[in-house]
Order: sequence, then structure tokens, then C-alpha cells
Amino acid sequence: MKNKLKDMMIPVLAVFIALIIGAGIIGYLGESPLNAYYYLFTGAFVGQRAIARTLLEATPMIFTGLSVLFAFKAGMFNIGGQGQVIMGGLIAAAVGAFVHNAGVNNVFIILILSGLAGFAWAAIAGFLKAKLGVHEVISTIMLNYIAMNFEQYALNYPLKAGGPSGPSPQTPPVFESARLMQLMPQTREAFNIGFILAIVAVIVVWFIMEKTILGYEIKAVGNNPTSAENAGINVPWITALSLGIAGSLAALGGAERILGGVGQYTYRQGIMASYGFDGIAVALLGKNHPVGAVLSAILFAALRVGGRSMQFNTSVPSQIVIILQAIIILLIAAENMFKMILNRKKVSE
Amino acid sequence: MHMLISLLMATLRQAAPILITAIGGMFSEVAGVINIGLEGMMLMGAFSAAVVSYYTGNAYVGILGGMIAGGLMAGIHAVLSIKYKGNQTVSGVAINLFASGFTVFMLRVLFNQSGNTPTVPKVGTIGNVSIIVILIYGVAIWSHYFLYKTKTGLRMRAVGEHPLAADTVGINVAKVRYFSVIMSGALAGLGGAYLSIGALSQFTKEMSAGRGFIALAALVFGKWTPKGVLAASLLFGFADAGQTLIQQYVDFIPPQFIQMIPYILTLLALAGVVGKAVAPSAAGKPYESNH
Repeated sequence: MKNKLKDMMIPVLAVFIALIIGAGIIGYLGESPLNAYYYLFTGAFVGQRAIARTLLEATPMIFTGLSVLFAFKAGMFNIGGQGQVIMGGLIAAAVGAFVHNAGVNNVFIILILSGLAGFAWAAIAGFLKAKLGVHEVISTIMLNYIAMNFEQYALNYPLKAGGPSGPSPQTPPVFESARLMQLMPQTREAFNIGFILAIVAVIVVWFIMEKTILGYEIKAVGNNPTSAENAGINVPWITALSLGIAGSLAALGGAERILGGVGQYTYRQGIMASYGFDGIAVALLGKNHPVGAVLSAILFAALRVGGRSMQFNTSVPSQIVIILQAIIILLIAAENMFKMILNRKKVSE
Repeated sequence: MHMLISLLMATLRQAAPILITAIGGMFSEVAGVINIGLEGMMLMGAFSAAVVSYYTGNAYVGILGGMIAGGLMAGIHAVLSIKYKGNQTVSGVAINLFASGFTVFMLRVLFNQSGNTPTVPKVGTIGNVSIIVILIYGVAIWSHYFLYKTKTGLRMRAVGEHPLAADTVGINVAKVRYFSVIMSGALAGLGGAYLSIGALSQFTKEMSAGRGFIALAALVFGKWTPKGVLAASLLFGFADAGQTLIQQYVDFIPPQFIQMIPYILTLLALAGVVGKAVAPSAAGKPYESNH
């Protein structure tokens, strides 16, 4: 129990220390840290619009955070979230805007298709790992860059609005039937039911991990593949399957960006930002717990959203929040440092 | 003939930053520390080289600045990976993120710009070739002798393949790893310096543009050896430099597919389709010394 508490302390400490370092930087720039953080906080949380913005920004991060977490449980590092988000988004845009069949062009069908696309894309790395022992970190990085190039191709040729000679590299908007319901239309922030779906995904992931045989097998493989094998678990199958499911989770985040209306229901340049990579930070800060992923996704989203308001109202560049995010990840990576310090204290007591 | 020469020169130029960053990554990984942070170290190198060149008015001091910045970033990675035995992939990811935020942040703070620095002094050329390019190929050739013919090189490979055995014969595993990782960052910083004050005379936002990851691909495709890395970098440099030429002959292939080639080749190499790539056996594993 005491260890669990200590485990929960580390993320809180990491955020706290990052904020202090950030305050130091802001102070060095000649601004008041309190003032800057005031705008950071109010920009992210005060008022309906701010809350809608923050939760909207958090939605894809919850999905990609779950994706990274899912692979972590199976003992793998999914750096390929960005490629999976892109593939999910492209399928959503392609089907949502180009398929005229009313039976197919339906938000539920499209979400399933996007999930399958992400599954297939990530399963390439899963297969390479399971069958040939290829390290998933390298293969998913390569798959990211293949996906990013494919994205540029798709936006410039087959999916381009107005054909290949259209005005700008983006898709036409998806049809009405393919759109996710808006939750706070009065704010005009495109905050949509995708957030609820993300929460459902959190519960499903938790359920799979804690209450099913599949979850038990995944964690067994993650803990020790050799003993899992000895216990009769089909390790290659679980490996490929886990990475595939991780891919489908990230892809749903990509689909939400398109079907939820962030970019007027189109797939446009840069719409996937860095959500795939953000998922790594989300899963790490959330200590690999599904609920932790929700909290840390909201935190990182709040930093992004609040950062803009801080830049608007003070002279502090919004990029400081990226620096904060990096420091948080570094501190989590150095969790042994905390443990050493905490243990040393115990000895001196 | 003239076209061939200019294609060859363009290939050498495009390959240079990838090559030196991959050689850097090789030192780190051969010694047993995975370095996903090459992209960030390169970006920091590009930025610092431009800034130092701007303030000192001397591009050669700028090169040094770029290498030191890359080395510092790598130093953080080294402390986390070696001393605190943190997850090396996580640390690398954080370094990439830090570099991308920090450089744009500092552009605003130092120059009140959001996209690029003002024009800064650039490094000179010898017969139309940037001195940094010459330096890079020199270092790449030297790295082969260093890794295979010197005591330090041998020690690097030893701590990456079998740290316990190296420790037993009295090699300080941590020290060798610190040296290797910091050197990898300094070389990635040199690659970055080429981008900002070799090829151009300014830093632009996100100017490494994924080259650190292509370097990682070159490292894997080149099977963690200097010769292999050189060949892979030249191939990837050619895919980049020859793009317009390739387009003329195969205009039915969109340029994006040509840009995918390095990554697809690397995947195939990993899968063993084009010669199996096997990483140093202790790469990514922290070493726990007993004394």
C-alpha cells in the first residue's frame, strides 16, 4: 500500500517540479510566474468555452494514451501512435467524404473501419516483433514516417478536395451521417461525443486488463514472456494482437479529429498535430493506469490550451508548455532518482 | 556528365547530416545505450550553431556551439540512462520534445521571431563544398578506425555486447557509456550545425525535419557499422538528391512514395529480407555494477 502511494506521488511530484522550473524560466524572462500561470489556468478551465476546448484537445490524447498503455502492458513501446492516428483519420476522411452508400457512410461503421485500419497498420509491427523479433520501437518509428508520407500523398492526390488540381491539400468535409454529435454547440468549439467514446474506451481497456483472460495473458506476456510461454500462453499471438489493439485505439483518436469537426469535418494539413507522441507522455504520467491516462490527457490538453491564452496575455511564448511536458517526461523517466532520494531519506531517519 | 557530377555532389551533401548523426547514434548504441533522441540533439545543434555564430560573428565557433549543445542534450540522456537506469526510449522521446519546444521558445525570446533566426555567418567552402561536409566525411572514415583499431573503440563494443565481461576485466562500463553517448550527441549536433550554418545561413523552426530518424534508419540499415552506415546514408542521400531526376523518368510514382524508400528499406532489413540487421546485444539494457 505504501509503495502504491509512492507510485502515485511520482507523477504529482514530476508535474510540481516541472511547474517550478517553468516558473524559474518565466521569472528569468522578467514576467511574473503567478500572473503567467493565472492565465494558463483560466485559459484552460474558466468558462464553458475554455472547458470545451480543453476536453476537445484531451480527447485524442486519451485515445493515444490508452494505445501506448495497452502496448506497455504487453511489454512493448508503441512509438507508432502518430502513424496509427493518421491512418485512422485518413480512413475516416476517405469513407466519410467519398462513399455515397448510406449504409456504409455512417459514423459507427466509419469508426469500426478506422479502428480496423489502425489495427492493421500497427499489426505490421506486431507481426514483425512476434515472428521475426524485430524491435517495435524501430519498426513503429519507420511506420510513422511511411504513414506521414502517405498522408501527404493522400491529401495531394486521391483524397484532395476538388481533385488533384484542387486549391489546397485537404479533403472535402465528411457527410452529415458521418459526423459525431456535438456536445456543447453553443461554444462553437466542436467538443463532441468523441470524448464520451474516449471515456468508454477507458472503461473497456480497464475491463479487458483487469477482468478478462485476455488481459491476464497480455500482462503475463508483458511481465515475463518466457514464463508466459511456459504457462501455455501463445506469446507471438498476444504480442501481435496487443499492438494491433493499441493501433486501433490510436486510430479512433484520429477518426475523432475528422468526424468530430475540429477542422470543419475535413482532413487538413497538421490536424493530427503530435497526438501520437503525446500519448507516450499521457501513458507515462498516468502511471499506465486507464484513469491516470484521462487525468494526464486533460492536464496536457490544459497546458496546450492555457498556453495560448498565456502567450496572448503575457510575453511568455506558448512553447514553454512543450518544455514543461518534456521536463515532466524526463522526470518520469528518472523515477529511480525519486526512489533513490526517498529511500535515502528513510535511511537517514 | 555535368548532370552526373552535380547529382553526385548533391547526394554527398544530402547524405552528410544523416551520416554524421547516424555515426553518432552508432557510438551510443554500440556501447549499449539506445538513442531515439538524435532528432532533438540535431535540432538543438542546428539552433545553437546559428545562435553562437550570430553572437560571435564566427561560424567556426558556431560549429563548436552546435556540438556542445548536442553533447549537453546527450549528457541528460546519459545521466538518465546510465546513472538512474531510466527507460532509454522514454528519455529519447523527451529530448526530442524538449528540443522542439525549446528552440522555438528561444527564437521568440532571443529574436522575437516565430519561424527563424536572422541571417548568421555561415561556414566557408572549399571548391564549392562546405567545410562541414568535408569534416563530416573525415569523421565518418575516422570512426571506422576508432571503433575497430583503438582501445577505446574496443571497449565501447565490449560494454555494448557484454557489459559484465567488460566489467570483469576492469573496464569502467559507466564511464565508457557516458563518453559514447555524449559523443553521439556532439556528432548529431555537428549534423545540425551543417543544416543551419553549412547549407543555409540561418536556423528555421523544426529544420531537422525528421533527419534524426532517417539517421536512425541508416544506423539500423547499415547494421551498426561505420561502413554500413556510410553506404546507407549515401543511399538515403541519393533518394533525396535524385528525387527530381527520378521524377523525370518515373513520373507515375508520386514523390511521397520515393520519400518512403529509406523507411521501407529499413523495415525490410529488420525483417531479414535484405540481410538481417541485429542490434548490439546489450543495447537498451542498463548495467548494474556490483562495486
